[in-house]
Amino acid sequence: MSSITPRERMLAAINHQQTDRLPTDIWATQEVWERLYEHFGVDNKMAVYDLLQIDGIIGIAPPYIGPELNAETDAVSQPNDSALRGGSDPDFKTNKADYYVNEWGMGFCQQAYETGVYEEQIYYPLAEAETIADLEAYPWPSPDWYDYSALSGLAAGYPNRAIMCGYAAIFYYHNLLRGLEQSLMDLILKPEFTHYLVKRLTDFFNEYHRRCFEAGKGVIDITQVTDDYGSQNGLLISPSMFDAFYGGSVQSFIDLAKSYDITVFHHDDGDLRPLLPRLTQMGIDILNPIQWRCGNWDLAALKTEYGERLCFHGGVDNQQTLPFGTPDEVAREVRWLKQTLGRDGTGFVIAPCHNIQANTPLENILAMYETAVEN
Amino acid sequence: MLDEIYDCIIDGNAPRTAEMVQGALENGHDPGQILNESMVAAMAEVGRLFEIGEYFVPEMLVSARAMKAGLAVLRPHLAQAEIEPIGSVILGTVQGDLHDIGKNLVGMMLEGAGFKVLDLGTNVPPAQFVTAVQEHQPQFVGISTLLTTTMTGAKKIVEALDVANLREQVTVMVGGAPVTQDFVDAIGADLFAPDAALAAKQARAHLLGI
Repeated sequence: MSSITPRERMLAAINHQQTDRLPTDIWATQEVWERLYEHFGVDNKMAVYDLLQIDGIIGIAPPYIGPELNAETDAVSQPNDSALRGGSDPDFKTNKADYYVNEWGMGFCQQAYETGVYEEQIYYPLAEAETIADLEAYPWPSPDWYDYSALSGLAAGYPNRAIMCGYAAIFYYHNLLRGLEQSLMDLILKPEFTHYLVKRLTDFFNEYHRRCFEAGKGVIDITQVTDDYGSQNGLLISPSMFDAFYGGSVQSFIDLAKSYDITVFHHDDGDLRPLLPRLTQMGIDILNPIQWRCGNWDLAALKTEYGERLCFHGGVDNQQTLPFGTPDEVAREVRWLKQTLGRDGTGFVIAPCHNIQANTPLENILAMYETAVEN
Repeated sequence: MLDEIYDCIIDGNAPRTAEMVQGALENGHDPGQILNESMVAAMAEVGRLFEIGEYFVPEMLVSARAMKAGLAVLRPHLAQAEIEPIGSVILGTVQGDLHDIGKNLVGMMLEGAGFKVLDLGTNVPPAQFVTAVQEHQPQFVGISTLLTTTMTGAKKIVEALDVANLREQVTVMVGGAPVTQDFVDAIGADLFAPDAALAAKQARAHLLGI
């Protein structure tokens, strides 16, 4: 039995050092966790981590202690787009018991599907905003609304695991405040409005994260500076749009993390490759989720070009292999990933390339983790 | 004038597109000519710019919005001149799935290609696709599916159309992130649309037999 802790193994891979094996991680929907608990006869995630030898990165966040959130209030009780009110299914109801609003005023519902339930956003609080005055009038959340003093206690619950705190997602929050379609058009139709919105978000994120990093000194290993610029084929927005609207903010988030010696984890779904040169130069350390199927990435080439600078996290395909493949196909893919992204024995964390979905056969999940730790 | 309308759509200038269309009509231009030579042609160019990686989703959305503004001015004149759309399409996202930006883009590009589009929205049960086909008699049914957990819904729609004896009278197109040609073949659908620009191009080609 190895005396290396999961945290040491994770940090070794991130820092491109040799260790006993490549570390592993897990992202999964609640339905998958319930099946894993049942399979192993346990009732908590850490027990599953131990049984599957998952090293993991544990996310902690300062608890919300701001104004009470009430989905009954007029302003946020009704989704503001009929297409978003759960769509055309007559069985869908905006059930008040299921509908909730977060501190940003974003409204979520439970969308059931055959094998599970998703939390789907159906209300976008700035969808109707037209002017900068409208943005100024919006009740922006305050960094005072979170209890940062809880962070060290939360981290203490996971003494041997790598700890992640923070989520600076500027493009994503623009999408979530305005609606995706509207936010994409904002870049062309409302540039000054967008710059103001981005500035307010940036100011909030920088102060919130500064307080997290201060309170979590010595316990936070990693933070997310994250967004979804990629799509199934190529980028959603052009690199020059990224530069014009979001690049400066992203750099400030990275710089803040670095000033506290915290590793920057960049999650970016889809084919973000055209942005990778500038993101690497800006200082990201970990690249997740490596959705290689979006554009059929050459992983050997990716390792050659970026392997010294970046640690890759993810890789096991969640669109076809995990849900629809055989355990053998899963095992072969994990071996291929180890040989490409992990060919130097470091700089790679084996994980699914997003949350394992409810329709994934249990034997595929087991095959992934068994193959990940084999010699 | 037709060139100006074309340029306004490429530039994504909605108010000016509407103005120029109004101007062109007042100058006696044929509504069908305005539609085909400036608007449909402009959207085909937008599609091409997207395919070669010069236009991204924001540019497509904004150009489509400009085209819609022009079409709103043009529509009554098209009806008056008895100019019909080249075909009609029913669109929807499968049951259990609330995502729609891809479907919306497809709808815009299809309108830009001269189709009439009826968008059923998201989370659409198979029965509702069937009812819509019975009522509107479209040439195409477009199915959007983003999630691996609900993509089997696409097959259910094809089966429901079959059971209702409507399968033969429509061409079924399927698109969405996890969708592949293999998937489309496996579920008995007709066309695979990897993106909105290609969806419109393929639908138009399929209809016109080119």
